[in-house]
Amino acid sequence: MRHTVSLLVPMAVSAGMALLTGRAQAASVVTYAEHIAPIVHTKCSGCHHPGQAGPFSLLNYEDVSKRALTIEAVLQQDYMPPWPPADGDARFAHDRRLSAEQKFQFLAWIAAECPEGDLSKAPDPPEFPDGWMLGTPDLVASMQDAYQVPADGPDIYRNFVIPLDLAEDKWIKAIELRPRARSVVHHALYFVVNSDAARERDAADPEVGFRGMGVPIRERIGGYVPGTIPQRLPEDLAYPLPAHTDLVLQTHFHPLGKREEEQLTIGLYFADRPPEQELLSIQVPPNFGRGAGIDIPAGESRYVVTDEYTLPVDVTGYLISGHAHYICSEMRMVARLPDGTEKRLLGIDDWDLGWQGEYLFDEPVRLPAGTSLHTTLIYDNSEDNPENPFSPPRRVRWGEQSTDEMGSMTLLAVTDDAASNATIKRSYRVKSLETARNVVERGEGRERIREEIQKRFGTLDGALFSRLDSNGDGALERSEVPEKSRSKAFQWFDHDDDGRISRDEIEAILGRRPPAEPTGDPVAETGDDARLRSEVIRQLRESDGALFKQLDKNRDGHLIRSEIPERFRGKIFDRFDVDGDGHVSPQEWEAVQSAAKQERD
Amino acid sequence: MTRLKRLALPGLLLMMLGVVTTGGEPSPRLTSLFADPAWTLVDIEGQSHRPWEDSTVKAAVLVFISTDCPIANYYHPTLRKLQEEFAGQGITWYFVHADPGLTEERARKHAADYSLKAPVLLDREHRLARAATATKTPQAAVIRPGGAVAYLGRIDDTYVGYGKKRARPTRLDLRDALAAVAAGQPVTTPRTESVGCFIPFSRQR
Repeated sequence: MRHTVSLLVPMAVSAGMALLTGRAQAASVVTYAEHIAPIVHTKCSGCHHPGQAGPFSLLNYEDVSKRALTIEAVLQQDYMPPWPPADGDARFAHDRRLSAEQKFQFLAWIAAECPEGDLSKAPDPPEFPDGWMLGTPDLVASMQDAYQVPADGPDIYRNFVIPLDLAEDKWIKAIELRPRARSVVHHALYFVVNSDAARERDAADPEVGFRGMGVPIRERIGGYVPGTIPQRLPEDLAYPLPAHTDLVLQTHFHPLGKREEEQLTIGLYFADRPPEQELLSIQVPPNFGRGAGIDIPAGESRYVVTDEYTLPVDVTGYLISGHAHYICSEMRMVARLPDGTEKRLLGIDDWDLGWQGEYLFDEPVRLPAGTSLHTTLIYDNSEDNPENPFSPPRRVRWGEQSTDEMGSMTLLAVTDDAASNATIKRSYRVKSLETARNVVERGEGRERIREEIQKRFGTLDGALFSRLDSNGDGALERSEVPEKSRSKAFQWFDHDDDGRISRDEIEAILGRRPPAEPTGDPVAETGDDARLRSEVIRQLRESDGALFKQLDKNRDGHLIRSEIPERFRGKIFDRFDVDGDGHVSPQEWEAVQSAAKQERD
Repeated sequence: MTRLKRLALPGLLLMMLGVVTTGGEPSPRLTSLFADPAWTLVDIEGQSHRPWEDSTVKAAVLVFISTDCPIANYYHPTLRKLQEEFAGQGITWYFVHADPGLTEERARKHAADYSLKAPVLLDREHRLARAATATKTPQAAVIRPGGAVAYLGRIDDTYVGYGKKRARPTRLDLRDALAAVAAGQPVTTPRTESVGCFIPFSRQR
């Protein structure tokens, strides 16, 4: 049946071509030299030339005609050229798709058995500079050691630190990634992380790079997927790259049948001066979807998560992207303008985490104050989803492992002036906090800690407690907890920071009841939670904005435990360290503070 | 420069018939080549192989591969494990490149890069591919002495489509077929659809 279809379609296409071109023998008119070569050179050769991501070259007649049937199949399935966005109300720069006419021509040419035409008149294949695509970068940096990518097995996600040793703040206009073994690198996302934190995390993993993120991300600055053409940000826009930060490359490898060694190199192009307006990252839901209710029952084939954020000021959008893992199937962001009109900014109908691009609007998108950015994420956690990493399906929740889920869409935009910038930042912090609060209210945070504990200690049942409690006084002192788990245990359990972990403190974290099955409703707040929260808020009211700076003694922009006065320590980490990474970032701090203010007002 | 052509329509129809036959193993129709007791294959090192010479052989496996199809290359570690699993059970393996433009030298380099552990054949004129009715790489043909193609299809279902890949396969079709052949049983699913790159057939025979 498929063969029949594949024969008929090009026949119909040839007939269509005959009508389109007004010639009787359209099929014989479409030739490689005249029609196909220009399409191939502009739409295929960019990736399909030696040293690039394409597995083979598509540069000349022989390359293309030999693969005609495969090309026919991938064109008909819209697999190539790769372009995930569905048609919406915004157009994007660097759209890789063939136009309808180009696709017709290509299929007609294949149906006509690939006529060469006068190859002497075919355009020359494009020249690809073997150096950097945008000229010599301002800074070139590489991974310190090579990572061994095995020949087979499932896909690998790993983070690598690119040390930068920057003494002063920089502004990035463009980034080009040069993998050593390009075909195994499926994609990489770029994050800006404080050098100390990144290198410490790297050192803690005995192999090259590290798994999971677990370090505070200061900025996400785009990424690489096959087909990415390095581009300079438009106008005077640039990504901030503060002094004493490194790049962390979250890299996805496809094992491809033989071992490869990867040592990624990155070229950075800097702006001469800071941009007038800051490029703001408006993520809906915030924090990659933590707290947005991503808790997908096993077997559920259409689990919908929505979130929205209303812009308090006018903005101009420049880029848009989305992020999720394996079982997300669809995502879209729609702007609902105050006048009632809707703009579909980005929709992806068949989400594939392997092709997560960042899309540059062809024309910047103007969105007035009062516009609601509405995100819809749809997950398919059924057995029928071949990309489901679990068979049989399991309940999937928010998390940093690729088999957990995430989900958010990000609009990169600027405001008109500094005052609006401050307004939107304040408003977004509140939004971010509201979402973060769900983590506490739904018990999401507690569940993850419980799982971590199980991984680390096995089950923390009464027997273990009694065994550890060697002096039998009903509480664990530091000396009673094995050294390798000591600091984590006290960080998690010792709420009142008295240097002892009581049974009650453990129960408070673990919950008195077994984990409830997800119902979609927030878990009711326990008396303990309410008491803790009011206590934190009371302490917050006594503090002011300058406190953070005062506490941040090493000035890395984050609070670590030793920087926090003992009487605040336990509760601050409980309530402020929303992402549970052991640091309190300025965003987390301000988010909790502004919520406290709101609650007071 | 080789001019490549789509398969002639009659050939395609025959192929379709082969593909839709699922009730038991099809009778050898285009397989006179494989039925010859003196069937001889010459590999890229110039070595001759006669699969049916050894009377303990229960099947010859032709795995159609290509040097640059990522899906075909992905399967080499899986194929190596299958070769190990069925060692000593009367299964003899051959890797077949059905690419008219491929040189021995490139095939040799590919075999070294991917550590291929069986003779590598160049089927530039597609005699083997046509006899087995193979259309894509990777695709495995399991041929019994006498010429019957006991199995033709994918190695497993890791790939669901172009760019659609499972974390791990749920059906190990080639393994199941080999287990049946090794046990002297009929293959329960003798034909499966392969996902991969099309073999570039030319019209010249």
